[in-house]
Amino acid sequence: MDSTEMALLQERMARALRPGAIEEVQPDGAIRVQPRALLSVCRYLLEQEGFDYLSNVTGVDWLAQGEFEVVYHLYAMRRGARIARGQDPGGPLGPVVLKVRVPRDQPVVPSVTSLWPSALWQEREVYDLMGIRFEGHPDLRRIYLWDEYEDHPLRKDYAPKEG
Amino acid sequence: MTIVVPRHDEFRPFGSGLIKGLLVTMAHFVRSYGKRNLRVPGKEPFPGGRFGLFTVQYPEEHAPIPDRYRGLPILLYDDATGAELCTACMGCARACPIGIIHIEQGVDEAGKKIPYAQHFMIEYDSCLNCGLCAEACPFGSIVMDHHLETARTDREGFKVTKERLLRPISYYAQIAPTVWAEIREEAMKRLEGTIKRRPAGVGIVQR
Amino acid sequence: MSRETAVHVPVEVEELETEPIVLNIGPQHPSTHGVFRMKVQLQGETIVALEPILGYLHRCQEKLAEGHTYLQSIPYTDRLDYICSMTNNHAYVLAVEKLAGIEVPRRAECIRVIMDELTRLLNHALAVGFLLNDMGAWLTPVQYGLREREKILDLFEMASGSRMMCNYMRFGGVARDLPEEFMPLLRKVVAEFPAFVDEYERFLTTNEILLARSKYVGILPPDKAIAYGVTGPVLRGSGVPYDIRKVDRYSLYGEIDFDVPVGTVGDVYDRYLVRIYEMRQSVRILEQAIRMLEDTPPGDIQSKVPKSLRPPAGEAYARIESPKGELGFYLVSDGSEKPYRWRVRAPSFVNLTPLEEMCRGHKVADIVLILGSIDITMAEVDR
Repeated sequence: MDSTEMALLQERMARALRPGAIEEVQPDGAIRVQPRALLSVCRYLLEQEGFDYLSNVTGVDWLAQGEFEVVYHLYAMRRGARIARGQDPGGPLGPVVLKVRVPRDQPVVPSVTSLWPSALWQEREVYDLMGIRFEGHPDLRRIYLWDEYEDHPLRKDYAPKEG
Repeated sequence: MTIVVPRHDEFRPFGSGLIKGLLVTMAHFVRSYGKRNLRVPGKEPFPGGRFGLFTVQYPEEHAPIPDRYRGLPILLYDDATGAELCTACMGCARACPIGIIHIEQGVDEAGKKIPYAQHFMIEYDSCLNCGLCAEACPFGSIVMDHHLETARTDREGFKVTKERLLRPISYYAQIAPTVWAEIREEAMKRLEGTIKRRPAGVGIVQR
Repeated sequence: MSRETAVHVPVEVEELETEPIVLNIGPQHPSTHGVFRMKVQLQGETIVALEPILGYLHRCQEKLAEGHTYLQSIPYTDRLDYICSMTNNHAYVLAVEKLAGIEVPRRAECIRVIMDELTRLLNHALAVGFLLNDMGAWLTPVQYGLREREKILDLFEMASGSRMMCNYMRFGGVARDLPEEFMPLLRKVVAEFPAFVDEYERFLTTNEILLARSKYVGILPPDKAIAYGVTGPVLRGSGVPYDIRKVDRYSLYGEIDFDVPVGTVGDVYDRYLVRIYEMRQSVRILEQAIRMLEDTPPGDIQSKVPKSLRPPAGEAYARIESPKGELGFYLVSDGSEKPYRWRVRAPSFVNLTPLEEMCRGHKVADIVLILGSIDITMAEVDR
């Protein structure tokens, strides 16, 4: 996705969404969204902009800033599929990078599983390894580690126990 | 463009697909009798010779291994002088993803560091065979061996020290001629300099 | 025993109650493609619910990589999807190149395309073979696939020094130029491969058992496939021609002419056929890539990259069309020589999400079949 498409998309988003939903647009094009506004931004991108494919959900632990960041990579799959058919895609293909920052001591982010079921397992993975809770996830359990395990290994302050 | 894959929904007499498939296996069965001696005895079968039907009688004979094969890392020394190529620059130890290469640099009588590895130990049991150590070595000293049979019954034996790591250059030039040819010039030039910087008699392999 | 007690007492059928039973498949089961466990609820023989349980092969690679330099992580990417180590390498180096802004010489790009497509050939040859294995054809079809894979593994060994853990690609190019004896052998493999695909099709495609077992089994409609984020041959089997090689045009794929096979129904049979047709397209790509490679000067395979790479602080997400689907790497750099965050978007993992959806309502014997048609590697699912 080139910068003009990105700028146009941001303009449309600024018009359609309530002010304050977008906290910041980073120089590389990533859009930082207010946690409370995440679902409405996602619904807008899915229903109005056609970004129907949530490719990647992941978390980043910014220990120094005391924040967790959840990153979403969105693509437009139906538009992308037109290329192979020899048609014009008719719109940006992605990626749209959405970011949400939450404080480390209260890591709760709304779940996007109702919009994209592809987040079902990826959010579980982030919860398991990073300890970020996703509100509204139908089945938020650990996915790799066993249920009795207490730590979240991908956190930067994680120290493996001896033994 | 896209291709829509045909789903073979058309009518076919039942069993025709099965028979067609069985003819394929049957043809292979018949052909297997004619194809046996593709490997010419006494001739190096690689490359090209492995495209046929043959059995390598493993413990007695070995399938050929290409030059670049990455086995376990070994150290080289010069045949003529017995001088070790390693200068304890720690390049390989830093490159190793799991840190299984342990080097202790030698010192002369005055306590000054000299380009010579007093101790050199590789934990063979943890090696990934990634070859990053050989890539990092500017002296052509650490290279990847072609030896495959490394099973042991004792765990301590996997901590391989310099005595068991050292091989003559002629050995490596024989198993991997093209790889050695690539690094030879640089390695020999650097070895000359290394010998000059070492005190006499240090870093010479006793044979 | 007296005669009276042994007499069969008829019971009213309405009084009988059936209870769903819970069946545990795996983790040690030959047809779960690794250590995959499923808790299946059955009503009779019909699947009511299925819960996949992962983590038996979890090694926390993402955490491991945070302790390694960028270069040291390449051997670890080999071990994600150990069948397609070349494409794993490619996706990772692409992400680092994006992060650090490294150019790649054209010859290296040609070599990468060749290695990627060879990987696709060997992965699909294995995938259709193991699918038939899961179907009960036992070992003959998979042996055919393994035989072809062997030839490609020989090529990999020649170029990189290892058959499966290739560790071949580097930032800004590839580790080494192709050896002399590589090209004649590659041409031979490429020339012989269509004959193998034809033979395989004669052998299996209209086989009555395969048709009966795979048609209309495990249907994934296109809308669901997109919603679940499924990619690769599974998505294209559902009729969505989304191919990252076409969409992103990474490497040299923008200059290469090839078609995207799509299915119509989205069942196991369509996925099988899509893989077969993709092999033919890969041969087409290989032929073009070989011609491109011949036009480039030998030896120009790696651009200058500092020995201890320190990408500027920032982030990058790069993805490629791996044989199993979209393989992406999300890297965050803080300017040091080790990545701050190293994340793999594994195709096998995301493609498994709709497994329950696909299995519900089918018979218990179809589970392994549907799982086989998704084509997973547990090392990549669990990471």
